[in-house]
Amino acid sequence: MDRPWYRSFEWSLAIACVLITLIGIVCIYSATFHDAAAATEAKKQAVYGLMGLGLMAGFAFVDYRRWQRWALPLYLVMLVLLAFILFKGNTAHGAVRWIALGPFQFQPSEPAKLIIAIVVAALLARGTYSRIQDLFVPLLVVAVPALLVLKQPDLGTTLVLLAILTAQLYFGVANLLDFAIYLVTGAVAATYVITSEKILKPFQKARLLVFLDPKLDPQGAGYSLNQSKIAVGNGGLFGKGLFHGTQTQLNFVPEHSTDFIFTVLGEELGFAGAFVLLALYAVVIVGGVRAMYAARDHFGFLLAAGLVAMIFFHILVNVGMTIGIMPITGIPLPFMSYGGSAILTDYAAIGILLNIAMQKDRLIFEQTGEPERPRIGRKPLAARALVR
Amino acid sequence: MRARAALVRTAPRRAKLAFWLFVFVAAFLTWRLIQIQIVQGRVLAKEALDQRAQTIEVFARRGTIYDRSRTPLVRSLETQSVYADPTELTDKKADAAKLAVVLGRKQETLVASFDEPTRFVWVARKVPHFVADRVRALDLQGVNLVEEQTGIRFWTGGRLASTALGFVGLDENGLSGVEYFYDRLLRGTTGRKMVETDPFQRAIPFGQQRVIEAARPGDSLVLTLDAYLQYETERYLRAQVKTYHARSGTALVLDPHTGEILAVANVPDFDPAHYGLSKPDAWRDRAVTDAYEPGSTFKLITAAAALESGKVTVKSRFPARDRLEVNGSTIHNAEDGFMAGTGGIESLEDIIAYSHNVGAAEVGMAIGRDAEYRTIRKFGFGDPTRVDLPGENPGIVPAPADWSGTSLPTISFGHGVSVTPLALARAYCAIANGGILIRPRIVSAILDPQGRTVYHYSPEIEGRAISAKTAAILQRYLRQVVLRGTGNPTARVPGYTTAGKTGTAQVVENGHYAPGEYIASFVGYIPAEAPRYVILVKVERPQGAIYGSVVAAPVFAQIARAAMLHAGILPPPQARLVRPKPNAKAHA
Repeated sequence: MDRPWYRSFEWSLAIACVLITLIGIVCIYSATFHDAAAATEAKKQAVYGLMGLGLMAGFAFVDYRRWQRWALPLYLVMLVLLAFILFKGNTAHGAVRWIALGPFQFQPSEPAKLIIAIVVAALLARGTYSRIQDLFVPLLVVAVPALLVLKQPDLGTTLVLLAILTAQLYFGVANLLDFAIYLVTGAVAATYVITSEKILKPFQKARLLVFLDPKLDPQGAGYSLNQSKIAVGNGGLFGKGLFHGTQTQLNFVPEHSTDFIFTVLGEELGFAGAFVLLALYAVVIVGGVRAMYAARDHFGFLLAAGLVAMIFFHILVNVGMTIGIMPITGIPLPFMSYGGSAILTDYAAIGILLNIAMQKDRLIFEQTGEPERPRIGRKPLAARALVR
Repeated sequence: MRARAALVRTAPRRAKLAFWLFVFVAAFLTWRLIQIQIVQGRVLAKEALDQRAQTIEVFARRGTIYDRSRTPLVRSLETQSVYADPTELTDKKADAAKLAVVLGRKQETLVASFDEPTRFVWVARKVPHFVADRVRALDLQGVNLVEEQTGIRFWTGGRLASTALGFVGLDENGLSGVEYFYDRLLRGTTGRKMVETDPFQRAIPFGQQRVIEAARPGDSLVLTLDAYLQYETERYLRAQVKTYHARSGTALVLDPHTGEILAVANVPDFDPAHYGLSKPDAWRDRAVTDAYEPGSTFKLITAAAALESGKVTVKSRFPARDRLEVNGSTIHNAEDGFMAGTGGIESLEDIIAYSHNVGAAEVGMAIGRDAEYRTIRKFGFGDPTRVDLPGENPGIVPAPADWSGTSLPTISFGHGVSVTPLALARAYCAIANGGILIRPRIVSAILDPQGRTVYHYSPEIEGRAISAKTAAILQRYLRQVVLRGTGNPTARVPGYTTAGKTGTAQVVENGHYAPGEYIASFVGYIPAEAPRYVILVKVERPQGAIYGSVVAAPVFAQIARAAMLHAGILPPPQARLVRPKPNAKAHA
């Protein structure tokens, strides 16, 4: 029954990610080759991609249950790092997000997403939650880093953390009614945050609201949105041709190698290119979901759910932003946007998913003993049930 | 166990819900992409183009100004301007040093402008392309060039004919002279084109371009001026003005048969490329803008009036005297060695030849104010000559009704009226050509941008000033001036025949005659028997000598000789050995 690893390896998932990375490098090159200051970004991204590939391969062969055991130390290290950059981080675009590591800059909020997914999955997998009050601990566990990230300020990553939590709660809480209460509470809190003057910076609020009507402020917060939409529309069915996107090449669209990389693709390769990319993302998501349902325990199931939700949320919000249906939150497009921390995190997540998927058919030697106390999903009962 | 059972029960439902959420999101993104890229694609592409497209003006080259032999005097070059973003400069001092060399500016001023707290500084406006290329070759970061919509004027002759040609403003708008008078023709029509630009409105190389309206270069002008004669005229006049420390000077060379201005020189003049460095006083073309009391050169008009009236003939004789009391004023003859003495008689010819004020006054009084006035007006005095130059002064000729008791005698020898040098030269043209008053002009043809002649001016006759017979008599008188009168020998040109009239007029200043200040002038033509060139020389306020015969006539002779030689008419062999003495002092 124990097959060689490559038989149970989710090849399609890994290959789709690599293909997207390659497309991303081409798009970054197109977005930056005119700009002397950023011309090396494509090369750097290729290096990051290779590093990510290595990370993915490494994580694919690390038993994911190890993360469960390391959840607490990882969480503490993360808190320290996040707290650290609030005081000593490097600034870019008015936000403090980076820690200098020699020649590299490291963005702790990126791995924070993975760690939150691990920690919440580990907490929920303990299965001690039967009442809604029990959700207090995971909520608190997420709230602390979320607030630290929000303080940087990095609204996008904060939202990603909440998305991961929400997905894991959705699949992890015993009673869906509890989840509904969580959602309603969250919605009320979100409304309060948006209307309150204190929590969000004015530019964040403007970005959040202007997507509803970019014409409200076409030169300010609505500018990026409007320009991006025009550029993508300018691409038409087959695009203006690689390296010939007028709007992106001429800097009408800001941040086009990072947040608005999809705009470059949309303009230069048109709907055809954008659709191919979205299809590749669908392959990634489906691969992630397969890993989720292949998980042989509740922790793996919830961890996969969190990671898939993370990638899915990134894609939805980023692509949605460039085509004018989502607020501008500065969330990078997985595997596409320029940025080392982000792409390494994405590949690490895929590595974890690959491991979860790979262990599907392994014989389970550990944890076969009878459950000593009532808890959910120590064994992947629910997951198994779903797959069948 | 209850919870676990619930999970088992609910999990498929949750998965289903999640699945549908995923499908919904995927479908939504795809639908939105279809909507933006395919449904609205055209509209957004147009919006994108509109955003990049900008209408810019296209340089229309200003017309060239040629002399009569199509030698370019002024032409336009395309220009660019240099600007810098000081924050992008790598080394302000070193960059400024390099730019200073190429642009001919001071390094310190450039560095000072780079230290301004701004991201935009003009380094140089409107430099020609060859300078712009040198700036580009420096390849400095933060230094950029932009095409200008107007060019820059280049005066191939420097100061040559500057007062006639005029100058242009920063946008190549004609501000004086021919440049101003013919501005609409020279200017051309600025075109418009649509170009693609980046968000900073810089044109994109190889971007889309669409010409909305083609630029039409301006027409070119062919002047009547002869560059060589102009140069010689300016040279001789300038030297004489300097010699006599005169305040200003004017010289004109006209073709008496066509009214063409062959040369018009003024001292002071200016460098049209840097007209701001000269006083505005130096900018004007005194030949058309400055009216003055002509003095004795005007006696020919009185003589013409006398002969035309029939009351005076070549045989008429007048009492010779050097003083005359008229209505309480005394008229004197100039104490120049040609005085009339007392007791004798003199003819009209003598009065002209020796330039007797008293005689001229007697002639005027003999024919009466109406005859005098009629002829003055027939010569066109008191009206603009309608020359194609700006700012023409019509001069002042009071109506006879306004004349005082002394007006008629003084006007008879050129005081109490004012004329421009050009108007006076034109009157002498009429004498030289047999009595025809011609409209003077400085532009002879208009060329379209391809160089084809679109218009050619032919001589424009205003009318007959005097009869041919009167003109012939006056020509004889003018010849006598040179042979035995005030023009002998300074107005003579060895080997040629000349004719003309001296003038020494008092200067009107604030309504009074300024004591000790004179305008020395000479108007004449060469050759005497078949006039080719009418030449007027006027020197204002010479110091050390005042008479037209001394100050102006030698310049006339120099210009006349140069004109004849330039025309290829050589003097007889024996005369060639005799060089004219430039400043030969005649009878003081």
